[in-house]
Amino acid sequence: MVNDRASVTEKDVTRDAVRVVSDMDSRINARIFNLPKVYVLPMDFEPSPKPDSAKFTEDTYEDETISVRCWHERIQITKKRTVTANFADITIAHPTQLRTALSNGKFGVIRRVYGSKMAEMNNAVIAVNGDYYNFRPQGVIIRQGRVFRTDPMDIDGLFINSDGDFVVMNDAAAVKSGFVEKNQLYQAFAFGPVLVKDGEPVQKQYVYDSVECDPRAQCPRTAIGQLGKLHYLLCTVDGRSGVSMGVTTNELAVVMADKKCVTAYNLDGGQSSVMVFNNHIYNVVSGGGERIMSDIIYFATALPES
Amino acid sequence: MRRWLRRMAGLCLAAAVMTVCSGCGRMPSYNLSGDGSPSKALAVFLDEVIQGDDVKAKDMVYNYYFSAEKRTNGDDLNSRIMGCLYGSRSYELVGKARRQDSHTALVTVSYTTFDIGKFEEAVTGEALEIVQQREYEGEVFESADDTQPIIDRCKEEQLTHPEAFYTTQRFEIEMISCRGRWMVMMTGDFYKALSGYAV
Repeated sequence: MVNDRASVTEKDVTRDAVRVVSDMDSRINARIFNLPKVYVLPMDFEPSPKPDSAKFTEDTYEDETISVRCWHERIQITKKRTVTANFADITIAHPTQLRTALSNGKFGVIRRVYGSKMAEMNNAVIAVNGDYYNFRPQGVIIRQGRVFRTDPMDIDGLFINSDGDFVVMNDAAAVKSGFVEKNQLYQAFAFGPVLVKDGEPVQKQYVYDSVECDPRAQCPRTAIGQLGKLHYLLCTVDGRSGVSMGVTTNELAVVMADKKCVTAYNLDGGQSSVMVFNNHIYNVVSGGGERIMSDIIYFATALPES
Repeated sequence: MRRWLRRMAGLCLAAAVMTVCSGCGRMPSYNLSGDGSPSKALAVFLDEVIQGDDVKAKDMVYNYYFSAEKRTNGDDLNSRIMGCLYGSRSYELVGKARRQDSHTALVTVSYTTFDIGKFEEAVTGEALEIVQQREYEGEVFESADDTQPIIDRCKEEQLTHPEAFYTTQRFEIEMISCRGRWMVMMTGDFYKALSGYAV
């Protein structure tokens, strides 16, 4: 009966639907296994993977997991004072790539090491000095997810959570409120003050006496800021020279806010202030040379070494 | 003479039978409404598809050997997806049939079905999100065995609201008068809708 129809193609809607439903998992898996690979570094004090030396230029490094761009900039602070600032704009793929290293790889070790040496030993793409935690016996200190000290100093603390986001709050309040205990924090620093909060520069009107270098003095300074999700800005300001006297913390706050940081925090400064890119010191360290110190903050590639 | 008349009558009868049986003889006129109308024929066809009556539906398509038989295998996830397809099908005839020529007419129908493609996209999106998040947290997925529980979970989740994947589309179907009845001229787009957008 059907032989006289225009076409005799066989069509079965149920068979077609069943076939598509049966093959659904393999199509979904194909898309899952085509996802860009996520590389996660262990939160420990072991050296990170070595960055590919071929991917460095004089001022940049870029691979699938990290992008770093460094530059020097002359910034006019007042009519009569211009300083040299050294910046690094960093984007990482995973929060574990924002790391810290301790001198000799252990907390509380008295022996201190040059920041550049620590950067090299840990395969940092870029690094700056930390808060010099063992210069003082107090302050909430968390490094690489391990809580080392919860004895607060009643100062501004910088807390970095497992999403790589910055939270600045008084360290005593952070302990008392249970913030330190309840949250998965990767890093905590005890120096300060906070420079930028919610995108606005924080201008302190009082003597912030918890930092060793008077915040009102024009000094070499180091700051770390968060620009966005897994996007950060490092800054060192050269100081104590005719070319660049340095900045106060209030001035540094304005600099970091001008660079669009949502949050920024002041780290140890003075002769400690150092930025290391591709194992070379990128700023001009004051006092005639690098100082040995207890810790650094660094950014690493997450690509496994081939 | 009588023999000649009988022979002539026989020839006429044979010619008439051949005209009908040769398929799609010319219909001088037809009704656009009522039981013998193209709209009614399309409605009957879609009723048979929805009921899964393979025998009746397959004989109502002009240009294909057509099958729409329901096949269910059990309670597994894929059978439940097919169940969503079966349970979703509905239609509404829009307006009256329109005459094209002496043996074709156009009928507009609004057809609703569970969209398998849309469902798959939702499951895939959710599964990709979960896998990415878990990889971000350090989990490693090496084979389909690792991802299957996630895919199944996402299917379960999406099957809790199958109505979200219902798609309604309007089609203009050509009906052909053939051997004294109306048949559906199947198009690629209409077939796609009948299969739950599986093809």
